[in-house]
Amino acid sequence: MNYLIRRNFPLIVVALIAIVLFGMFFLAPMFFLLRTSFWKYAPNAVGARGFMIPAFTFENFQRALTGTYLDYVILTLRVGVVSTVAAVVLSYPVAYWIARWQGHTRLKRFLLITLIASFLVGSMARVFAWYSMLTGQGFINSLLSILGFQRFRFIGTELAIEICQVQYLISVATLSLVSPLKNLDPKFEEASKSLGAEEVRTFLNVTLPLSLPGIVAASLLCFAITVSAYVTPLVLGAGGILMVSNLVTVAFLQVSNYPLGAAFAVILLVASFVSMYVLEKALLSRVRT
Amino acid sequence: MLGLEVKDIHSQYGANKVLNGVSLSVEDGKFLTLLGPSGCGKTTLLRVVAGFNQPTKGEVYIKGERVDLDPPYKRDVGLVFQNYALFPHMTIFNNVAYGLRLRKLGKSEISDRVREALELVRLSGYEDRLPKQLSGGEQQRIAMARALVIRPRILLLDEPLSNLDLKLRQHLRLEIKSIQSKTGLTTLYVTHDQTEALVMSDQVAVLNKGVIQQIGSPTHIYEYPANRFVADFVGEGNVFEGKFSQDGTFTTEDGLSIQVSEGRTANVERGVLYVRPEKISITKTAKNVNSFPGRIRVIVYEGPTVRYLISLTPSREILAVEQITELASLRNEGDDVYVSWSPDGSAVVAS
Repeated sequence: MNYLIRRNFPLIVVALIAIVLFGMFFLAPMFFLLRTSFWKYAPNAVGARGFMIPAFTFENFQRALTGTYLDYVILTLRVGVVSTVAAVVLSYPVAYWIARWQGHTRLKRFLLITLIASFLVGSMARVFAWYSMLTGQGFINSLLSILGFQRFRFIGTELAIEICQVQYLISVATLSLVSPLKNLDPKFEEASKSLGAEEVRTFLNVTLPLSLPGIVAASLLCFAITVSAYVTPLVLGAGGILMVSNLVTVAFLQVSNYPLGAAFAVILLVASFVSMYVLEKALLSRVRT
Repeated sequence: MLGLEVKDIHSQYGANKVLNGVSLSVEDGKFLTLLGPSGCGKTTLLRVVAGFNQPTKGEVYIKGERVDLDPPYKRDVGLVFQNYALFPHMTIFNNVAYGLRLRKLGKSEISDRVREALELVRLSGYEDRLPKQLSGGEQQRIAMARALVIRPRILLLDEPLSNLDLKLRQHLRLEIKSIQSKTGLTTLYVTHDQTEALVMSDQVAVLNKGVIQQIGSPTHIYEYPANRFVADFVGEGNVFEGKFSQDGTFTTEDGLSIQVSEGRTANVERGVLYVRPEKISITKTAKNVNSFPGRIRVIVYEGPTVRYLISLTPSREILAVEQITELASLRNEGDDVYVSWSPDGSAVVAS
């Protein structure tokens, strides 16, 4: 036993550091958040710590999932789904081209750099850029009116949030789809073609199903990023639209209702986990090798 | 009729010439192996036939029909890869049925033909499994079934046994060969393994640096190598450099005088003489022809055979292989012996 410990000493030290860090910075906060979400909100109670008392209750979840709050939760999930689907659908062809087409090396490199740059732009800069483009006199509306369409009030709509999110998510999704598509063995496609399937059929029968794990990973990333968006709905929603992250902030910082804020955060987390599970079950059980 | 004919194929990636004017033909129903070291262009040639590489020049005919301008999916070839390339997301049944569904066959015909194909590779009952549940050898047999079930005009195999262990490889060689003769399919087989080439083929084409070095039956390739590369690449050999004179005597640089049969020599003055180790007999006393005294220096026991390294002169060692028919006949290190071979046992090629 002693010998085993001595021999594996460096390993044990490294593992301990990892466990401690993981526990301190991930598990513990998670635990406190979860615990808070089940505590009772008590703004006036005597002896309450931070407007709450440690009594177990479902009240916070009940409030979060009824009435206007429920509408905001549903809106958040909807914006998440719409933006994710749009971004992945738009990104897949680009990633496919970068990963599986021969030639155009310079153009591809330029595109990748552009995508990385757009990924790295701060959220404030991006959101206000879109704000100025989407206002009544902004670029998009000017374009619409030149083309003979009605001007549209984008600011304060879900659509504005989705446009801004999709633009950001395209860089995320494309960058995360390139490598799984690159790693897909071209022999599978060649086998399909040699058996008589032309390009489109080969793509639908073989390439697309075999790239599902990459698609799922990209979708989960996009979904998680969107449902936790904060600045985008704050600015482009212009107060008319709130997403769950905004509700968390309001609950914690403006009305000091920590249990309710924690409940919103937990709901976000659960939504992400559930979407992960559903996608995994629905799409991947077969494809995984 | 020719099952496959390629004419003057050139293939080039940038400045790198992969194939340099390769022409060959395979008679209908015959098995031809492309043999060569890695990078010799053998896989490229197979991919040109399959339609995945566009040659810079040259023509490909399958059963007399020109195909080099057709896309791969119109060529009707059965293709088997080294890493099997079974579709991981489909069951074995769906893998094998893939090509049949594309041909819009009826349901019952598809299932009949899939069943036949699985019987042919002796994996009936595997229909509902996924490729990952099969061993490498089984996957390779399914890959064969998938290629054969569409009744292709020719069968192309790209190092199909290279990922398998020795026993399985030896077994599958014979199995592939027997399936090939049963179906009577013209077959192009790519390998770097000379034993595989000799065991399976009707014809072997030895390829190096994008050029065919020799085409012939396995016996021909082994016994009458056309040049130094073929002699070196196929089998083992003792190499003597020297001069050849028209009376059938080869004089080596260290002064040995070796008799060579007619037909075993290239028409050269300076050349290289090869003697295969198994052609050499070891005796206590000298024989009449090509007999040289030596001393056994190293013995390597291999079970069925034993290898002797025998020094003829201080600078010359010769490798001989003997079957062990009786254990008592094993020789000892340091024994003085004579090595000899018949004039028919060696071959001279240009150096």
